[in-house]
Amino acid sequence: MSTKTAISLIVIIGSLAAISYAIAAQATGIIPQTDLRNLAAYYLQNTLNAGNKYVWAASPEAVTAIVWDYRGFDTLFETSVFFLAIIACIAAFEVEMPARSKREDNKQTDLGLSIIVKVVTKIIGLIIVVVSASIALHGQLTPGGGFQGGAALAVLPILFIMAMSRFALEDRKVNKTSMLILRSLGLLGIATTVVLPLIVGLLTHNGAYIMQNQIKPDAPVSLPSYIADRMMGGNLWMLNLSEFLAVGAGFTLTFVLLSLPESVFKKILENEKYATH
Amino acid sequence: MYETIFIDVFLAVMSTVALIFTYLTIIQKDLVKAIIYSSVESAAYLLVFYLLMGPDLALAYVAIGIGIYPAVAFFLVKKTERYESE
Repeated sequence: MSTKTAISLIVIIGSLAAISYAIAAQATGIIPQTDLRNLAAYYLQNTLNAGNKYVWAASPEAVTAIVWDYRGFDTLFETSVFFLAIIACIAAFEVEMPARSKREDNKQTDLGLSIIVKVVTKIIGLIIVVVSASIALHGQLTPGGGFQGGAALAVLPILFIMAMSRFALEDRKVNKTSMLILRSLGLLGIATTVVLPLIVGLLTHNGAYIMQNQIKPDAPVSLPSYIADRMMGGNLWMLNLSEFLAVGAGFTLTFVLLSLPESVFKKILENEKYATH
Repeated sequence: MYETIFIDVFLAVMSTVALIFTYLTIIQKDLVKAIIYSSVESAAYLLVFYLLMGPDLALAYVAIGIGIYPAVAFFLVKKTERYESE
């Protein structure tokens, strides 16, 4: 490391440490407001306020209630942005999945890292599935939710690709088609949950809103807030479950495509070059 | 009282660690090492988020900042070059 780099590093770290110390010692006054803002107080008072069912979300988790109920349309559009990004990724990787050669089939047990890493990866894989499912399915009760759970689940295919090679995923039927189906199921689940109150309202001749969760003064349609004395938060758990599937499968799909070897694309590009001449 | 001071100091230390690793990520020419520094930075921020009472954010950050983003970057490095040229 040159003297110049060392000096600039020391200056940056020194000034940052000084600022951090000043803030930690409250030289700037108390920065985070200690009393709640009106908006925050409204959400905290009403998410689980069974006394006023017109504004409650039937969920003790205020963040999930805001994400999927009070500000549900934000999340809905965010999900569609993610959906379009995955679609773009599939379009960019519009190639035939290469058939596995005999040689690769024989070699498959030797691919990847050592047996110790493989076994540990499998054990961790099980834990990842359990933890991510609990993050997603408990989203209406504890911190977490569909996106967080799905993102945690997507770490599993990465570990498998790194430790055992791409073929380990293919052998477990994790490929482009199956992940597309799973992701579409998730999106279908979200769409169904969004229009479910409308359908119920039509059938019972009541007014209802798109993405409605609990009853409103002019729309007496309400999704179940309890199932067998378990608090479900109406549409929150359905949306979390669907988002979990959509995000987990969407990320996995991207990784399956990204792990294609370079030679596959080179071959396709060369074929195209000859085809145009 | 002591608990608050501990949290404040811990926050200051973790943000400093994050800054150091951001700097190391930028100057590092070996991209694999740069990705690892970057995920250490994410880990430091993860603790900051947790202490600032954002467990939802921390849960998303642990999967994306430490798991998925470095993995995508590794794929990218694997398909291009490992060392950044001048």
